[in-house]
Amino acid sequence: MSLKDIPVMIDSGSVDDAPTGMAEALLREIADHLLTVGSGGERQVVELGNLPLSAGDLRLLEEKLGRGEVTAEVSALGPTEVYETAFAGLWWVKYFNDDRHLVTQQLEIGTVPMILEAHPEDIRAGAERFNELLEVSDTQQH
Amino acid sequence: MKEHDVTLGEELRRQGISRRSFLKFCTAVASSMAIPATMVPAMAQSLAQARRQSVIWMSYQECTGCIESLTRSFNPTVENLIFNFISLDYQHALQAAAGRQAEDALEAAIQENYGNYLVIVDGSIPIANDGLYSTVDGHTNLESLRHVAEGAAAIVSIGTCASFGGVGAAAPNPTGAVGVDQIITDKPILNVPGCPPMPEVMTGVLTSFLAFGALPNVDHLKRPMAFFGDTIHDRCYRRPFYDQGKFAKTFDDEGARKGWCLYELGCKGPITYNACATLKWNGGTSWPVQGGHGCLGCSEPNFWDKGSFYKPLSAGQWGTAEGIAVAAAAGVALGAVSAVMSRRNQNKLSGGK
Repeated sequence: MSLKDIPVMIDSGSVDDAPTGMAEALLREIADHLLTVGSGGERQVVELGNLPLSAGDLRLLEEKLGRGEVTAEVSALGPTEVYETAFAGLWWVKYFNDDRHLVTQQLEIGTVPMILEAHPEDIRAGAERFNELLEVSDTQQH
Repeated sequence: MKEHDVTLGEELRRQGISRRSFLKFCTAVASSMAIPATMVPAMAQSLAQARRQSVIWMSYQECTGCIESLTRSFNPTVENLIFNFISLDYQHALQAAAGRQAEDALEAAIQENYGNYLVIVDGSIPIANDGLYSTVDGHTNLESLRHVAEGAAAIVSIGTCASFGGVGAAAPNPTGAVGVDQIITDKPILNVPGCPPMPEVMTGVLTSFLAFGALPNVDHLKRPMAFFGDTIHDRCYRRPFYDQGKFAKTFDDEGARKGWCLYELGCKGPITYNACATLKWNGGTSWPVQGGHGCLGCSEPNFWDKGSFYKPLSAGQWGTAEGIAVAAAAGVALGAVSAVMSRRNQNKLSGGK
């Protein structure tokens, strides 16, 4: 049973949905970040999870930023959705749990979002496993 | 190699959990604690290098609601990763062992990790008549707490009972119930009040202890600032209605249906410090005020002894209880200051319009 199956709901539409002006403020912040990163500065992250954004604010933000060339999904501790917005280097990253509940979401400004990068520790562990793979194929040949 | 010698990163990699998962976990925790997202990679790195933390969980005069809340945390896959980071060496409700075996396990954990284990306490401790009102294995809770605290690196009091005495200490408090910090004074103590407390707070506290090697910053009631820095009222989505003077007068009037401010129906949000308004409950589904009921102030000391839950704060009920008057007044004053500040910020953001 999901929440949608419960027929009685408080009508909070008028409260939650109206844009509050937060989206416009965020756009200015993002513009700054794009300039910083564009001129070689380090990666910037805007945490959306703990900002008092209404559903209307988020809709507005998604509309304004649009969608760009890249979409990716990561499977680690539940899915993480990543897409590049219509602005190169401005990424929308949504972290979900296994039940596809949104845990938090961020705007990341950088060349590649952190969650997409492979980590040296994992690469080293992978290299070890790869050796086993070579050994197995060696024994199969002989 | 002993279990505690392996880093969390190595141990979890054996289970097929990648560094990306660490990063995602830390992202979720950082978000709930308002830790800057740019610090997340360093946090994940440090957490991966930490050792598994021995945790001893003591339950005294309690209802098990706290552990119910924490084990039903909203992000099963994300939040429950914390159980891979700790070794829960003793917990009444969850452990398989019982009786003598369980008590022996407790002693073994104390000896093995003396000086390094973390103690979590839920429930108040009765101290009247030498604490005879609650005993486990022939020892009073009072004796037990002193014994376990001796070798603890730090103590986390979970829930309003362990923090401030809670329901057990409600007037006339026949058992003389008190919170942990009224008994133990020589250890770092963190209070995570709430009836029950929010699961995200527990995850956040444990993670920052592991990643940063210290308990997070606290306020004057030893509560972590990251979660208890603002009042419910400061972060309430109904706050604009308070500012406009729009109040629900009964639970079924037009104002209630339109989601107006619940101040006049007794909401204790203005003097209650907790994170419900931002983190919400049950997977971010809702929280009391969103469900149409005022905040009860369950994370504040003595919340049950402060008169009706349904009388407005201005009726003075919350100012009368012993020792609370000053705190409540300070809370209201701080609330007023931050209201002014947030309005100033809003003005700034909207270019003064």
